[in-house]
Parts: sequence; structure tokens; C-alpha cells
Amino acid sequence: MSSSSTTTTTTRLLMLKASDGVTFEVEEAVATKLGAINNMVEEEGSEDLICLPNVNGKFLGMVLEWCKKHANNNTNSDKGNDEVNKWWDKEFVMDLDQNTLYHLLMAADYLSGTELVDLLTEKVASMIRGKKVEEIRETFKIKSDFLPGQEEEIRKKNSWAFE
Amino acid sequence: MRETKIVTYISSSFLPEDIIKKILLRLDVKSLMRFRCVCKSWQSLICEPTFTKMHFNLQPSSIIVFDNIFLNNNAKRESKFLVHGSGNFGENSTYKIPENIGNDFSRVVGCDGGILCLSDFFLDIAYLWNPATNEVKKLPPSPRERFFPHSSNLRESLNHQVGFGIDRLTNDFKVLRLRFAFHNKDPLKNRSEVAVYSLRTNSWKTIENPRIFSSSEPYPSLTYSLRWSTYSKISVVVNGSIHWMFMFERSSRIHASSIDHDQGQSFGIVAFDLNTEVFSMINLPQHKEGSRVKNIGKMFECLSFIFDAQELIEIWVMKEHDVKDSWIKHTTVDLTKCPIPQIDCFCAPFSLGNKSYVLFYSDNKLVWYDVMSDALGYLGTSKQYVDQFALYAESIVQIGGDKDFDEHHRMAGKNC
Repeated sequence: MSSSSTTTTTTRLLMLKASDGVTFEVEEAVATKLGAINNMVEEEGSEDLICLPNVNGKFLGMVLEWCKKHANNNTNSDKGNDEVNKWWDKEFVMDLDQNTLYHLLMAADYLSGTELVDLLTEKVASMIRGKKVEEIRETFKIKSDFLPGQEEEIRKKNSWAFE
Repeated sequence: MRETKIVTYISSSFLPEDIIKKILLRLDVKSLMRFRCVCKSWQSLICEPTFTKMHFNLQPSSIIVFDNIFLNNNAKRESKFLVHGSGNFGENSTYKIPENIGNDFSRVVGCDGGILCLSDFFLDIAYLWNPATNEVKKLPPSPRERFFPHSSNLRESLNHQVGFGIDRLTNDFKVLRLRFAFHNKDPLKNRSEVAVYSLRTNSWKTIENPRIFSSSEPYPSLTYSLRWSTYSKISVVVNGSIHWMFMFERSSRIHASSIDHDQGQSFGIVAFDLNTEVFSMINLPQHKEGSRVKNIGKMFECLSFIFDAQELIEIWVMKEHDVKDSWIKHTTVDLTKCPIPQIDCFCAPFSLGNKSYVLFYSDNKLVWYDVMSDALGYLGTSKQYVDQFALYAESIVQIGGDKDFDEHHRMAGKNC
């Protein structure tokens, strides 16, 4: 999307409707930070109401809050913006419980909020880096499906990674 | 039946696979090697070549330096590789040389795709080594040269060069050995030979008298009068080709357009395409005559060229590979106005992150110099001469290492 079209349409408001019927009125410039919404706006043009059946109000609200913050920080073109965004991102992910984090991640991914997905996947990565296999299974609710002996074989081959 | 049941079970993971993938791409090599044990889908995801490649591309690049300390009156040596990241070149980590390699090597042939190739001087013994996973593969013996008999005339001057790189189209690692024998009386009896090792086939093949220049090359004898410049020991892998700086003898009397004649010595760049296995010559940029040291390096994924003309250093970058007009002067360093100590014999340009550096020897020490900030420092801990280094980034790529060679055969077709 070219910058000139952004500036002429900043005041346009979009209505976003979540799966549970909750609606949000958002400036187009904010909402189009999300790739999925940007595509819908570009394809459908005049539509002002966008239905998002795969994300509920709680998480859509959180995603939009993040978009708004970043859009605001980026309007004043100071050099310190990156720092502000970084600081704010840190605050944003700091106290998220695991369940919220996963749902938010799925919502951001569904809405193609690339930067937010990066932020959230890094958060998850930082939580699992260096963890034991058993802890990972617990975290992601995964059950081992290896046949007896298979797991031991991998462990044996790379025993250094388990030290 | 049992297999299909297991496969469907995998998707019980809470997050969809493409998100899991995005998370795993951010992890370090050690965590990933461990998490292959989580479940089958994680294992196949992590071992997938595209995942390996994507993960490698996200790793910060660093410079890896061979550090060789002699202990007990030179009776024992302690060898390791030190890894320096960009920034202040603080020492980030150390890789101990695996026991099965030990002291069995004397040179770094090259480094690409997270794999180091180490060998003895003539590439009779060679290893591939992934320092991040500590996987080692000893290569089968390289073929004996066919026309380098112990004839005194030919042995008079034997010259060779080696290289290593990954063919990005087939993900195959290849090692290359070039040998030239110069007849001291009759240049028409000069011979050259290329041996190429492929990890995929785990075998060597030999090409006799390869055409190093194009097939329309007007002066075949030129091919055989190639001598490699002695200060350019390390090959440079850019754009799927291995590059070497070479030097002609004055006696070659040949005037091909891609050769730079300078004080009776002629310089040029030879490239070997790792996919097509064809040699070509790459033109040098226009530059001042009389430069002392000329060398190539890798900057921002491009081939770069450096020359040192006593009072200044110029660095050039070839923006578009093998397009002569795309050489751009990157930096000129005025040696009279910067704190660089005496450059002994060698220098190489390289980049880490968004910074450009020159690496050179001064007083037997390897020095890095940041061309933008004027900062400089030493690499390696031992005060001894370090002449082996490579650009490096960690990778989880597997090379069918020796330790689990049997397992590899048993699990053939399973990717991992």
C-alpha cells in the first residue's frame, strides 16, 4: 500500500466484528497494519464492516490495542520510536499467561499481523529455550508418539544436547 | 495401520503447525536437537531441509578463528576454534576440535552452510564438521592424481588449491581439489586436474584438464600456467560458486581481457559453480596499478575485492555476481589518517551484520578493523600466528556423520 493512499484515508473508520459479535471501530490506518484486513480493504474497497469469524472479541481487542500503539508511536517520526515500541512491546507481552499468549498468537497469525506474530513467537521461544523435552510436552499439550526405543535412539545419538 | 493412527494423533498439539514452526525457528541449535524428541511431527519438522535452511538464514554470522596453542615445549597442542560475533568482537563461544579429528588437519578448506571442512595440506585426509552439533564426517580418500608421476620434470612445480561449499539447488556439500603440475621445460606438458567430492554420493570424481576458462578460450596453455597467489589461502563462497584469487606467471605472455596485468604479475578471480561444476573467470574492477596486496572476500552476500596500495586501501563490491559493470567502490581507507598498524602480508574484506571490516596480519597477529568507526582489535587468544579463519553461522544441518553412520543407513528415507 502506498504511503499517499494511507495519508488520505487515515480518518476513515472501519468496523471490525469478532466471532462473538463484539465490534470495534478502528481507524483504517491502524487496522491495515494487519495484512488480512489490508487485503480485505484493498479487495473489497468500500466495505466498512469486516467480519472476522475466527477471532473472538477479547483477542481481537488485544491485537488492535497493539496495532494502535504502534501506529501512534510511528506517526511522530522521532528516532526514539524504535526504543518506545520495543519498551512497549516488552510491557505488552510481560504478564501474558500461557493460554492468552497462545490465543493471541493464533489471532495475530490469522490476521497476518506479522510484527505481532514475531513478537509473540519470540516470547514463546524465550519461554521454552533450554527446557527439557518433558516440559515442552507439558507446555504444548503434546503426547509422545514415538514407538518404544525410537526416542531413546535419538537421545543416544545426540546425548550432548540433553546435558 | 498402527502408523496412520500415530500420524493423526500428532495434531493434538495446541498450536497449529505453522505457528509451532515459527516458534522453533527462533530457537538455538542445542534446544532444537533436543526437541526432536518431543514427538514425531516436531522431529520431521526440525529435520526438514527447508526448515534447516530457514533456521540457518536466521542465525547471526560470526567469524570463526582457528586457535592453536602449543603446550609442553611444543609436544602437545591444544586446538580450538574461537567464535567472534560482530559488535565488539567479544569472544562468544569456543568449539573444541572433536577427538576423531584431533590433530589430523592443518588447514581450513572452507566453511559454508554451518559446516567447516578441515584437511591436511594436500587434502589427502579431509573432514566435514558441524561445530554446533559436533557431527563429524571423515571423507573417503581423495583420488590419487593420475598424471603426477614422480617425474622430476613435473614435480618441479606442483601447485594446488582447495575449496568447499554447498550447492544450494541440491543442498549437497562439495569439496574441491585443483592440482596443477608445471613442466619445467615444455609448457604444453603442463597438466591440471580437478577432484570433486559430493556428500550426497559420498564419493569423489575426477576431471582431467578441466577448462578453467570458457569453452571458447583462445589460449589453452593459459589454463595450465595458473598459479595461486600465496597470500590468498581461503576461498570465498558467494552466489553458489567458490572463488579464488589467482596470479599468472609473467611468462604466460597472454593478454586475456579478464586478467589484470600488474608489474609483470597477472591477477584474476576464478569461480567454480557448485551446481554446474563449471569454471569461469570473473573480471576485477578497474583499480590502481602497483597495489601490494590484492584479495577477495565476502561482503553483504556479494563478492568483494580489496587492494592495498601502500597509502590507501580500496574495497570494492560486486553488486551483481559476475557482472563486471556492477563493481562498486565500497570504501577507501586512507592509511596515513587512520590508526591501522603495519599490514604484513594479507588482508581480506568481510561483513558481519551491517558492518564492514578488513582483516589483516600485523606483527604476526590477526587484526580486525571496522572501516566505518576506525575501531580495531585482535582475534585469537594465543599470541601465535593464526592463519585460519572463516565466516560462520550455526546450523542444525546433518551430514551423515561417522558416529551414527549405521543408524543413518538403517533410517534411510526417513530424512533424519
